[in-house]
Amino acid sequence: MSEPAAVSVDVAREGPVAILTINNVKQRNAMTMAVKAAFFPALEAAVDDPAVRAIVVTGAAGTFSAGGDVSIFGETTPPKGRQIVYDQRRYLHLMVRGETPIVAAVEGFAFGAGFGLAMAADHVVAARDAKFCAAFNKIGLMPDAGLLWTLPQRVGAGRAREMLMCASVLGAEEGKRLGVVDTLAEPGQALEAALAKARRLAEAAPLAIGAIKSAFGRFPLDLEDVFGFELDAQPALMASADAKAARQAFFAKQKPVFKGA
Amino acid sequence: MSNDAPTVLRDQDGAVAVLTVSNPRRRNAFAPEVRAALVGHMRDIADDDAVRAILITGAGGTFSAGGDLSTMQDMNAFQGRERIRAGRGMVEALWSSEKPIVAAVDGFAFGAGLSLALLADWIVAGAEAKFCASFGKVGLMGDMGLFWTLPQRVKAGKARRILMLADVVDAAEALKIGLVEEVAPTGEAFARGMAKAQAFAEAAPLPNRLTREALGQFPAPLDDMLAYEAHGQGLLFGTQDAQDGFAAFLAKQKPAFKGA
Repeated sequence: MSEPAAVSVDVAREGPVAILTINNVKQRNAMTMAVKAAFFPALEAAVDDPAVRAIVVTGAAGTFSAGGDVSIFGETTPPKGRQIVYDQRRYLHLMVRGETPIVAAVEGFAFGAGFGLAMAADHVVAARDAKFCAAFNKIGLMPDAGLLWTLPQRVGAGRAREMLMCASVLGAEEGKRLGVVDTLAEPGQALEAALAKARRLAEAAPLAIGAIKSAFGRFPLDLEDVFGFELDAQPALMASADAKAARQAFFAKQKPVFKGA
Repeated sequence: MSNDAPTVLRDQDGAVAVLTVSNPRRRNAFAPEVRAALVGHMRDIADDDAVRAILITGAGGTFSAGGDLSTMQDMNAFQGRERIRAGRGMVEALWSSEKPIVAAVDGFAFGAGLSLALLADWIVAGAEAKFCASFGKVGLMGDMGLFWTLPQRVKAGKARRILMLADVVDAAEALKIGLVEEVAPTGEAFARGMAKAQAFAEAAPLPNRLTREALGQFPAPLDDMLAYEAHGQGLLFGTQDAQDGFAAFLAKQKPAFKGA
């Protein structure tokens, strides 16, 4: 077993935007047990903080995340493996269903569980030379970290099947064309571009953003369920102070400032 | 049996089983014999450990012109129902396959031929291939799973246009809208399809059995997929292939997966 490296998930604030940086550079920011143990509380604190209106997830030293910690896999029993994978639902739930919008800033590699992490974000910014891969098959495993749910929503069935089953590597520019990447940035500029996107998301009406994330998080919804959700959620938004203030601002031709109330 | 009797021919190239739809008198239309032969081959392939991937194509430079209208004359509603049930058997044989499927499409993939191609995990089209949900031309709706498969590859507006107007989509547009994943120069669709089928065949087969089954549940809620990936991954941690995969990864070597 390899020596446990000193790892952290660093949290920085830039106004209403929280930046979570996976810092496990020795293992190319692999989503090891230690990283996941640090990532979940950092994410939870950001999601729970009403002053945080958007979150950027990124990796330190020019790479997003190279996947998992293969060095411990050999001694992982099936029940333990199942538990390790199932525990990922805690941060995946928070990313997908938490009410704070999340932007992934991807430089270098987003492989394996790192790819899953990027795909769980609402918006993916990638450097032109970034690479994505569901690398699991290369070591005899199946995709996890939510990719069976997230990837087919972003790319067509054939492309998703090939990426998940052949573990092919996708460059960011082709990823943009196919829907894996939402915004391209020059190499080294992904974080800056992600921050620009996060600032815009931070200015959007937070209660509405939360409701939208809640709806997307329930994919797939049939039409009846969509109507039901609209009926439940929209009246509360209509009665919110933010919506009232925004209506006044609209008629006064001013820009509303949303407070999340 | 004469050479132009409707059937599906089976061949083997390494770990790839090649299934060739052949009904030369009707541009490879899906006569009942074609359906039965395809289902039979899929059943055999499921039990054949030497097969790791399947390549489906059509004989004589065309994929398939669709249902066999000549056998639909004077068909009453219950006979039609039997026809659709038989079609369902073929859809299920492909949908439930634990081995990945590549379609190499030259010429026409019309009607049921389009439906068949869309059940593949990867579609390579020849540069001159043409796709059409031609059902509307003969007063029918799309079938053989099109309402499930088509919207997974193309966006809602395109799917509606393809299904409601029966517009013919050429290979270049098919690539652009996501109907196919790859376009090959004329005459090279089969070779490109074989290359992709070999890539699928070289991948670790056990994870892909689970992955294919999970993707067959599309669309499923997040929690269903998170539970599926945890159960499946747990199983896989106990396989020799995964152990070999971990060791090869750490030794920076390429593993040879045995499916065990």
